[in-house]
Amino acid sequence: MKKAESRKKTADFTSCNGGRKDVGMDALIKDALQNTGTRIVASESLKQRIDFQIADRSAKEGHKMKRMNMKKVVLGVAAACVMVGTIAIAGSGVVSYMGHGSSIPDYTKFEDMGKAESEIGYSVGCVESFSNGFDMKGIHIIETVLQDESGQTLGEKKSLEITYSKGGEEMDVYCKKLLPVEEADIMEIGEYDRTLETGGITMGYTSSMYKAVPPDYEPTEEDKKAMESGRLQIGYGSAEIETSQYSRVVWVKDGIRYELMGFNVSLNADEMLQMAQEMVENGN
Amino acid sequence: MDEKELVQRLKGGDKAAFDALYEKYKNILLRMAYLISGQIFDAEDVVQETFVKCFLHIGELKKEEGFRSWLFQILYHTAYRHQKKRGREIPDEQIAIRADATDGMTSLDRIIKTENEKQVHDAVQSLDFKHRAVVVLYYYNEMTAKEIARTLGCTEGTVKSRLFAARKKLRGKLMMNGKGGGSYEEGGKQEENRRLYFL
Repeated sequence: MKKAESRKKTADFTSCNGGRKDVGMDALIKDALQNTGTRIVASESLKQRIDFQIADRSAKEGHKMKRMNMKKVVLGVAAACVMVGTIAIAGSGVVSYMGHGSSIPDYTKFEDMGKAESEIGYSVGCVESFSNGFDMKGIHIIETVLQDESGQTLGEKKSLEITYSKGGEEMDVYCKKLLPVEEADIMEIGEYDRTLETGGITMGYTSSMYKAVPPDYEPTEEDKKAMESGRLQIGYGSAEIETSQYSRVVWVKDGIRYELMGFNVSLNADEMLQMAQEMVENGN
Repeated sequence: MDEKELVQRLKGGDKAAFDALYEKYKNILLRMAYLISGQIFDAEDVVQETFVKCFLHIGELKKEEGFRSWLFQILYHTAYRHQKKRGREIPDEQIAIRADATDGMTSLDRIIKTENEKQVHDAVQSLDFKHRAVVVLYYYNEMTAKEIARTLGCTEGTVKSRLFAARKKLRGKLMMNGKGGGSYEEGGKQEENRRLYFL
């Protein structure tokens, strides 16, 4: 009796739905899930927890990122206008930088270096060509905004990134005027793999692994140890995990921090320090 | 201000833009997370982590137009990881603390009102994570197979296959519940259960 009644009801139901049995099930599931969903609302405390965690994580990640060059953050991002980086500076009230730079150079001729320097408000003393054959290819102006914890803008400044190329290889020199709150950015001499001194300026070379990872990547224990030791930097946003070797030479001269850097470059420490020396001496 | 502009402003570090996007998506994400996880506590944790990642990594979103899919993708992966990590009971004292934090939405009875909803909820929760996620995105979010594929990072074929398998299992579960009857059939709910039985 029950089976017969069931068949009759089924027939009635399917006939109301053009004979497509699943239409009824689809509607039922959809209604049930959507009705259930509407009764769920976010608590007031959820936003507070999110804001707290953002502040906390920004500070922690910023601490790890202090030594990162902003260029690394945009690795693999080909957008015309990109966020360059977020850095936290402890104890200064400044918790982040948001930088914007274009992947298209602002200038492509060395003669325009003066214009670029006028725009940023200070001279950087870069060379047109290095003795090893790297020639200037482009000048990028990077705008940086300093913000406090609430996102309030505290100030703005501009930096330069100069790209050099030789064959298919590229190197960048990133120049930024240091603010007092950025003193913590400067690494101790002992933290470099190798150093070279010229004219009272110490240049430090380091090389580390850079790992571009998808947005949901969770660092492994090995990653964490490598990050703590400064041997690994992680950048989020890649479709798949890609690793590259990141080499750089850093020095500070006349309140300007310089960073000569490249990914998977063929140059060794001595050759990169030599390039840095040429820049330092060119500016004297 | 439209979403694209909000995302652009968020990329520039505008906290107000983040707050506006949070307001727009907080309940959508929480509902998705709940339907996928089946636990309101887990859902809030997943949404919290999703928004934190959104704020910290918004600079890596290449196209502002893809924000919605990107956000759903983060939620999906976060929920998946959360699900894998779960497995321990939440201590009683933690429940008491969180009951306040979730505005009392800890009782299943307050969320699921009808027998139909309970049966569908139970049937959906009986699916494994990946099939459940496809069901939620398809039925709750009303996304196409292509959109779901983009969110889950798989092919459209995989989505269709999962959906087919999920529907088959759901149909079986719902029919079985209808036949079992007794556990959900109380008073005026009987008629609703018949709908499930006759699918």
